[in-house]
Amino acid sequence: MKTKSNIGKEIKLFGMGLSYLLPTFLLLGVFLFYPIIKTIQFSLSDVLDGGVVDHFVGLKHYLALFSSASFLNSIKVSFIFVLYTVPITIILSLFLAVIANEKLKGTKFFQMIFSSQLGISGAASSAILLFFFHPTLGTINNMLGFFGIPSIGWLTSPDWALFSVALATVWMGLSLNFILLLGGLQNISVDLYESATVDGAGYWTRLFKITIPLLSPILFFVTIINFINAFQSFGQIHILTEGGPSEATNLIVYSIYRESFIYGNYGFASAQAVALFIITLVVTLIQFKAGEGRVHYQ
Amino acid sequence: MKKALMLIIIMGLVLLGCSNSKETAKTEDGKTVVAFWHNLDGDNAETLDSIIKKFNKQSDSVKIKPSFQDNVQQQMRTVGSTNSAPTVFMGGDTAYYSQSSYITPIEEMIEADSEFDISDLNEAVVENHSLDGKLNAMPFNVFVPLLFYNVELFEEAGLDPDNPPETFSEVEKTAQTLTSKDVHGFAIPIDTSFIYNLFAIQDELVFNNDNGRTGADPTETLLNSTAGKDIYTWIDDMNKAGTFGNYGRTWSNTQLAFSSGELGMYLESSAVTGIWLDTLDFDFQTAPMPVPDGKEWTGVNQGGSQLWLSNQATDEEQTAGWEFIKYLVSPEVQSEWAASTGYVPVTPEAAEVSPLKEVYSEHEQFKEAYDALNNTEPTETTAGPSLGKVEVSEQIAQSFEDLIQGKNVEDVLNEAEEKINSILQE
Repeated sequence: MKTKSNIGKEIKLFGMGLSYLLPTFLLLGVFLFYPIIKTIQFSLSDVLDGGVVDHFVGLKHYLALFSSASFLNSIKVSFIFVLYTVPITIILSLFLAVIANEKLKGTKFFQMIFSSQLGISGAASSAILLFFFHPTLGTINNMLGFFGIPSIGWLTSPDWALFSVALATVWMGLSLNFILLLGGLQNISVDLYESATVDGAGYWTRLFKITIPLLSPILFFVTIINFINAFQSFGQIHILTEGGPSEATNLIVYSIYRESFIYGNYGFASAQAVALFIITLVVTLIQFKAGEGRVHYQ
Repeated sequence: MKKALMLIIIMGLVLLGCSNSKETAKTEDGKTVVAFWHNLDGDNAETLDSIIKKFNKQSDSVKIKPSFQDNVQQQMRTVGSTNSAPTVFMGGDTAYYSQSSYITPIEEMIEADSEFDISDLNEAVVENHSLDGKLNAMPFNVFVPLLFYNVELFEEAGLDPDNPPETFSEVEKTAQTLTSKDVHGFAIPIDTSFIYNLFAIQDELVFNNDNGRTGADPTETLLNSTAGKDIYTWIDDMNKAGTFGNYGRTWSNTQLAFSSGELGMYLESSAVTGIWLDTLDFDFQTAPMPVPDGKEWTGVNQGGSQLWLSNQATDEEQTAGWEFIKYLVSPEVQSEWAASTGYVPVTPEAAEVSPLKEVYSEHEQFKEAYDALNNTEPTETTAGPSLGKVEVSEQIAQSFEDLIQGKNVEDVLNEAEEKINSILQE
């Protein structure tokens, strides 16, 4: 008798739990799971305008990925882009967070300044940067000109365009990373620093032996989201370069956008999307493996 | 629990809202509501809005609900064949929309309507917008490419602004004279349409099978022909001489260079004439696009968009949409539209009524576009390419980019030809 009522209770509890989860499931289902399943279906079919599946084609689109020079180029470009942006963003924002965390007069002001970029949307930032990067009227080239340095085709030269977009991305990502890292820094107990000082540890020792290790969970988190964000960059490219010049900034997401919404090759674009998902997943898993043991949770 | 329930109800409603029924939408006073999508922004959109307001005021059976879409074609690809499609929309890709299954050919509306005569429209425009001799959409904002030049820079350099360069070599020489430390002599925005036009002006096809205009799809590009080599070599020479300004793909960057007086001449759509007249603090003039030496100026491709009617709308909505389309191409409206924008009127009569009549006699810059259009000989070359494959346009833009990065002409053209042919033959 006792077990029976227990099972009944369990079921009731389970049902209640489910009903709490239902809104989340519904939202995720409509906006996440359904699109994912659709994408996989599309990637295996030829798709007409309006998302009408014409017929099943098996792995045709996936095989086409390997022979598409444009797609292979966009993978290469995406990895270079990640290398350009992720380390610099993290190091710079860590630096800003550390100096803004010093107990000095006016740090509140600088904390506000450093995080203010968050208030500007990506599209607006890109539109402003378009003026900075203009080949003849641009702020940057005019400043270079003042020092007698010849103009650089920031967005018009294939050698520079990716770097310029990376620069824009670093700037746009600084504030969020700064806030996350500053939050992490302020969570570290002051006692640790005090006792370390009593033991005679200098500034650098404290930084590398206390601050960085204790910040490692946040750093780990920040690294992962930066990787994913860099792989999925789109807005700044759409506004600044449209994937050009000569495909120099055609990152994977822009390539997906172009294939699907400009060219109407939905099947091929979906296969690229699935490929991007797998790449992101693998890179994240590698990071988790590499992060194990190096991340200290308090 | 209550909140969760509310959320579920709200989401259910949202989902329901997505699937609206196929009934004619009406306003409270019984007017048919016609959704209209356009892709104009800035000053030209304001002019359009005021025209729509006037239409809504004078019509007692139709109310237009305009909405701006950054990229109509992109939107129509997804919703075109659903009932969320607008009744009337503005689109530029004739080949794509004509073969889509969601439009009502405008010629059918014209035939059924005894009040409207197709001969009221500009013949060259009708010719240019027809595919296989059939007009599927109503031409509305037609523009032609022109050579825009800065009169002050011409005078400073000792050039005669009333005598603009007409041939490739004259442009090259003028660009040389105009170029100084802060000024580039000449530029072409990196956009495929200008390459197509440089073929059209000398009566050359860009693709075989009559540019895809007469039924059969093109299977080969003629980009790597003598005409193509001439065009690319011309650009390459100026680029190597440092007289050609490269402002990248963002068209507005080239415009910015011109409006700030750092660019002497450039190829541009006539649609900006009105905006330039209002905003530039120096004098500018327009001239026909230059031709290669020894070649005859044949004509230009017409750019711009047409008004399309969706067959997903109810018959009542389509009739209402047709009323609106007729209004937009009436001489009075076309006159107002062309006068404040720089688009070319699709109804010749518009040039005879004010305000366009006055504008044409006062501002030569405006008249050039009208002349270029009317002097264009209607052929497959001046009608321009009609391709189902959008990728080709990207390949041509890339070849243009490669060229001004300093790659040699032969390599650029061979590579582009190979890529485009493989796309066309797919």
